[in-house]
Amino acid sequence: MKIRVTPLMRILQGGCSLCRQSSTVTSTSGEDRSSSMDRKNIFKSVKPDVDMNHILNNTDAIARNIQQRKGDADVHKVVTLWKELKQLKEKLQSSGGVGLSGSNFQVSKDSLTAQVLETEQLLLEQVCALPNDTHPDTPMNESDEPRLVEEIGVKRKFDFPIKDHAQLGENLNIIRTKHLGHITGHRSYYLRGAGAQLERALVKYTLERLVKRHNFKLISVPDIVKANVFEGCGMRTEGLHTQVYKLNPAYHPGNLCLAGTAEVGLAGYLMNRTFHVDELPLRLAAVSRCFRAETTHSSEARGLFRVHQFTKVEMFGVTSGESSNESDDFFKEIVAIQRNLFADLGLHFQILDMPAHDLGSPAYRKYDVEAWMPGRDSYGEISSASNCTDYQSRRLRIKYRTDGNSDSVYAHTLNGTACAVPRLIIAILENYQDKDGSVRIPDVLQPYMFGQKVITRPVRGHLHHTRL
Amino acid sequence: MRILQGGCSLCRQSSTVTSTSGEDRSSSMDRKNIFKSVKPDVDMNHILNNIDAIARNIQQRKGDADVHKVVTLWKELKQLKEKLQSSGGVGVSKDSLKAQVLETEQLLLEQVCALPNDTHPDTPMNETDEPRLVEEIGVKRKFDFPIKDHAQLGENLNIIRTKHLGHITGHRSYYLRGAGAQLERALVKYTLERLVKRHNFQLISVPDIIKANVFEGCGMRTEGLHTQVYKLNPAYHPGNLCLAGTAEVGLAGYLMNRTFHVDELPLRLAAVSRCFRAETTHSSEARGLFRVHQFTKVEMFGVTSGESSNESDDFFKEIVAIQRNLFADLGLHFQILDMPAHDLGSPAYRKYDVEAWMPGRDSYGEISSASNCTDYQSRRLRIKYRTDGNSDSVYAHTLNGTACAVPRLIIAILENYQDKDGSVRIPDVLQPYMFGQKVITRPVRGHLHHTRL
Repeated sequence: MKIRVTPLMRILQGGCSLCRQSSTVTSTSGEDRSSSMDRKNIFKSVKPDVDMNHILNNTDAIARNIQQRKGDADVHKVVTLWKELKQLKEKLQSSGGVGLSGSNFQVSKDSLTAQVLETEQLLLEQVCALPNDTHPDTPMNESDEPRLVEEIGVKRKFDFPIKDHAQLGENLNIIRTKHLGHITGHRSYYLRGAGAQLERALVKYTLERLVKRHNFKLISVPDIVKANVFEGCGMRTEGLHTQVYKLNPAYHPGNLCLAGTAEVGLAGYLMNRTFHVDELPLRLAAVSRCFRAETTHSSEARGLFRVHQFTKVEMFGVTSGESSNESDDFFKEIVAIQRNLFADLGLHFQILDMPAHDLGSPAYRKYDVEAWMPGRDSYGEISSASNCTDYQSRRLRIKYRTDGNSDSVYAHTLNGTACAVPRLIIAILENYQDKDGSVRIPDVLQPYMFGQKVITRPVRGHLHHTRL
Repeated sequence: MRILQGGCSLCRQSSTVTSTSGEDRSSSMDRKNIFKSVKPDVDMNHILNNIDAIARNIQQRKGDADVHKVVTLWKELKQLKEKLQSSGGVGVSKDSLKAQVLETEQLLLEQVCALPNDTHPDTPMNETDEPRLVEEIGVKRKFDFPIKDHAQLGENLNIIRTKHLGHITGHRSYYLRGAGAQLERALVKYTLERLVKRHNFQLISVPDIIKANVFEGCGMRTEGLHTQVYKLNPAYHPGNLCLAGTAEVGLAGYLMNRTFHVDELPLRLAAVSRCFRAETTHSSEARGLFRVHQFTKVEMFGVTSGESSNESDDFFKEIVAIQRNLFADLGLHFQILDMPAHDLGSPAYRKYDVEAWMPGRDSYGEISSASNCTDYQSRRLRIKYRTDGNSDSVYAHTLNGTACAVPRLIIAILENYQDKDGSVRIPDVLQPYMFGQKVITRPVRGHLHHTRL
């Protein structure tokens, strides 16, 4: 078995038999990796192509970053393991047979090889746990509160007792959440009539904005995606806190999972692709069915606030990383699009700069949009925007080239919610309710609901329980 | 007739519904139960009085049910129960009798579940087992240039991607891009506007994750070699959760255990949903969109009364007429076929398929179907209605039909509307739903061919 001594930065990739065997992509400068995609492989774990030089030269800063993000990664362990691995590999390289003979030599070499493999695996686990860097403006203060970036609109004053969306929806016969436990499971729901129309109107309104006004490309994505794509996005598919639904491996082998956001499908679309810098930024949009196991939130009351399946329109961006501005500019663009989408729906909401410990692993910076939901007497998240810089692209191998330079470089990726249907339905029902329990339809949505202006109580059927 | 329901401890324990005349079963829905199997509420009188006809029906449908076994087990069960009733208080023998009752009930249930629906007298049951051509709309287009199939057209136009996805999204997965994704949305918008505005269907938004018993209630198998149903990993997601292959399942779940007033019927429901199909038996299909695991579909679902035999038959004709107009207005050439008995599946009393001409495949391919399930599903899902002045509730009839199966229609449109230069014209009726776009043309090439999205 040949082991090449490779530059420091390449030890994790392409330099050893383990990497070649188990990497979906072996990244070599300047080459497109299409040929590796045709291999019918069993599930391969994600190998982030980290910049070890950067880690070695900034160990303390990275450790501080992890601490502020309250992550469970350990950069010192990464450095230690990497140094161990380097030594083991040099030993393996140099053990040419001098001084050893026969079976002793082979056993020693096999043992070294096994140690190399084991150390690589440990190193990989540690590297995968490293979070992204953090934007200098991201709140990292003592109180760990989000920073209010902007507030749009004001709370509506009601002169009658208001209802929450679940009650409104039930009275109007447009949302059903009851008697479904043994049919469609926990927290399932149906939308009916104007409720289902509202869902479609929200999607049509959002997509028309994104495609016609903001020049996003529409992509139709699969919902069943392999686990490695989730991991490449920075989402866990294993362990207690995973939000990801998995298919039964006994019937459907291949580590198949259900996407909780079109971000996953779009990331899969862009995996192992190298673009030309002139093609960036890429602006992609998708509407998809999202599935979330939501295992950690079991105490939520009935209604649409926390559900397992819903429809969402997602924005995904790919920018270059030449300066530090391209992705930052695109991030601002995403947030501006969100602000306008929700302001034009007539909602009152806050845009929040999320603190370091709320970023999750992939985000360099994250804004949340929280809309006022009077029926819940609180603000509730309706949207978020993340700049993941090169965290995802180093895992998914999304790259670009500039003219006159044959080396490909990691792109920056971003994502943002354009329309999460259940949360917007809550905000609309609760804010637009009238005293008689009817709900006005926001002006911008009326054209997408065949001109309907109000959702009113339906005429009662013969038996109350036959109300659809 | 009621031995299968409500008359014994097994039924009460394990039935999601214990059906008693005239009562709504809402209270039973609140019980947090583990998975309960479906118990069809069959009409035993009908079976006992028509054994031979039913046996002939099963044979013509080439089913694996055995009505004689049903009758035998039912008679055994009746005897065992009478024995149990009359046996005094002797403990061990009584326990042993109870165990026999339970076992026989289980066997009987399995046999009953296997019984298919009756068959419409006009359904082809001839020697050759071919579908009967009901109607042919349009004619095959004559091409004066070599044509491409949809996969090639889609790739050249950069609107369909099927390559290099095996390790990302799995076998037979695909992405639609730009005009391809727009076409998908245009087809759904066109179809839903017709159904809701012109034909007065109610739009329902359905879940995709549904418990196995609802599938079984529709007549779809969730176990065994030939199941088309995706299942969630029970170690992480208990509860027999499966992914719906059609909105029919979600709509059936919506209607489960409901009793309507006859004046509310027929119910016309429509849903657009993501459909998931394991397609385990069709592994040799070439690449492209013809047989895929996930796709978007608009479905029609109807509930009618069963007073005469006409209500569901009339609704069936209505569904077929809607389909005919939807596809004719898309400018497609297609055949409406009356499917033969062995092609009906368990639930259908009658089934029509619509097959559109797909020149790139040089064959007709199914784009739609319509089924009248009469009371097969309703006896499993307990969907009933009452008439005025009669407090007894009766089983409704259910029907379903495809209004728009996106991938199949994309195939038909791409292949029929292609031009010599590889561009594809957009059917007139769809253009308003595509922001007025009239043609899908080749995109401008990027710097590197493999960066074409």
